[in-house]
Amino acid sequence: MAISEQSAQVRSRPWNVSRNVLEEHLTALLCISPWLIGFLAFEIGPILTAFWLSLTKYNIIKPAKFIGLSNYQEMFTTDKLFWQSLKVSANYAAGSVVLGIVLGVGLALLLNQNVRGIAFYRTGFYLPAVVSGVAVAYMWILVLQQEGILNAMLGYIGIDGPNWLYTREWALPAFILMSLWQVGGGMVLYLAGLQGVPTELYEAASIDGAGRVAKFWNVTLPMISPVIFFNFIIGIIGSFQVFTGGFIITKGGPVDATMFYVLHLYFKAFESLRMGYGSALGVVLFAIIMALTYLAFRASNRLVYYEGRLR
Amino acid sequence: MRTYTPASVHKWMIARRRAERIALYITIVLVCVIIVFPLYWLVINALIPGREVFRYPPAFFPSSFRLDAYREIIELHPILTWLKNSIVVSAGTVALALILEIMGAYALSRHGWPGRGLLAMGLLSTQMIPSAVLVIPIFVIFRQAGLVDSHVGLITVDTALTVPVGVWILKGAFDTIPEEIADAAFADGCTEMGVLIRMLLPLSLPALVAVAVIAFFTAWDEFVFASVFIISQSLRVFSVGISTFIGEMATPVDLIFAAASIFVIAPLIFYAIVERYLLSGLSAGAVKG
Repeated sequence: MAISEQSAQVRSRPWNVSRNVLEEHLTALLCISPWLIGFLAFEIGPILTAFWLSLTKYNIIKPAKFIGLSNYQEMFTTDKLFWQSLKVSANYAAGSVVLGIVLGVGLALLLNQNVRGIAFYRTGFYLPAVVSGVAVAYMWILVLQQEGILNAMLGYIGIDGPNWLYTREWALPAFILMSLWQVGGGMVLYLAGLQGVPTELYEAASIDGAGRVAKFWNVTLPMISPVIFFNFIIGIIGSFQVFTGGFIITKGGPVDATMFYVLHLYFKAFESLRMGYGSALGVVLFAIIMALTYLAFRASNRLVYYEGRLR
Repeated sequence: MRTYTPASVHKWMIARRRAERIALYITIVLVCVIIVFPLYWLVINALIPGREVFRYPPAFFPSSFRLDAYREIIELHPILTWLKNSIVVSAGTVALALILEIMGAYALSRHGWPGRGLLAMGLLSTQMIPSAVLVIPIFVIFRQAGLVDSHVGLITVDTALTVPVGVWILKGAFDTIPEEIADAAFADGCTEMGVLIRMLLPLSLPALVAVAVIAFFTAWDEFVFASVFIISQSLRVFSVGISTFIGEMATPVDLIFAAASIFVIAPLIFYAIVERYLLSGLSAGAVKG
């Protein structure tokens, strides 16, 4: 405790007392300004534009026409695909984020066992996180199609695999499976978190008679809970934005079983050329993500353990 | 009834521990194989003759290879143009993003100026804005500004997408460097720019590599903006170009897989080169943050 207080003091010490404070603030402002301009031009500006467009009817060719809240009214009353796409994305988010955390932590625990050649395996586990997008979508078509390699392997153990991507009940689970393939991205962070857990804590737990399971629940899990929380937030935000896979592989089918929210938005905006309606969908997505993040942060106060919280 | 002497218990524990380690390694290797296999399968399927692709049961080690698919895809489709465009856009994004990220992270990490904490929060909160929300308004704005259908426009967007994460990771790396080092340099008459270039950047090399890689892959994989913003055939990037295959039923599957494997292999080579820096740099920033 004494050490952390001391380092906190060092940190709060003025950067360089002898130099002119004003000049220093100007330098900082100068450094941050390009990013600030980008922030205004690519985040705040577009968000405000999206709010405005969501109140209009706009097909790019004719000028935007103000129509009040009717886009939102249509969304909540007559657009069945809105609810369907919301359901698809929510199911996908729940499945991929929860399973992704369990699997990611599990793999990190495996690699944390003082394994020889850890760098090699870590690279292997992380590989899928760097290859994504369109090419991977084609890869999955190859693996998951009816006569694909996965079903061939399932055949060896006597299971008659379904047509994963193109049957109504299996398409979404197949997408969750694809997301789990990329679990290594999160795993690297868990692994770093695990390696930061002080060994004294485990020794102390051993003296108190804790077994492996007790150590995991009472030491490991609380200590890496900030990393889990970080991945949870990023995962929820990311999974509501899934687009490429659905666009390439299924186009939302079969029977809208993989009509992800952003896919619906894209079709409305860029194929039906309804920019106003698409913007309204975007605004609602923004609200959903804000709400989920807010709830997650509220819950995190009770569930996540931060070391040196007093800071 | 069997008696347990200390020696026999000890032997038993050693055996058990050995069994556990073997099980551990088997699990790890198995997971690795499962993860790498689909990529292997993609490449293999581009290398085997077209008619063998849908053979049942599949051949894990095809009897004959041929590079025809690669030759054909390069001759029949503007693959090389797409590849060049993707490299231009990705490299441009890396360059622009690095400059902005270094400046931003330096300002957030090194100066005790007012409003700093608020800006750092704003930075994180941009992560919550879904790019799907931004794509329509940015498209509309770019159309007015004449930036649609140009690589510059795409580079700016890709940079905007990657900068928040990059600044965050770099800020984490800069924060770990003791201020005494910079203080000493100032005392020796070094300028602020000199401290940044000669001290901070070399000391945070892993994080720099990490953010450069993230910027590269953000641009390389980006699909939504690229498909909406680029209209001319000649300016198309790889991710969009390759997506046009699926509609054309005439394109033989082994050609599609050949194209997809080129798209995957190019960044893999890049990844293999910088892997060592990437993972340590990534985790340093994230665990601290």
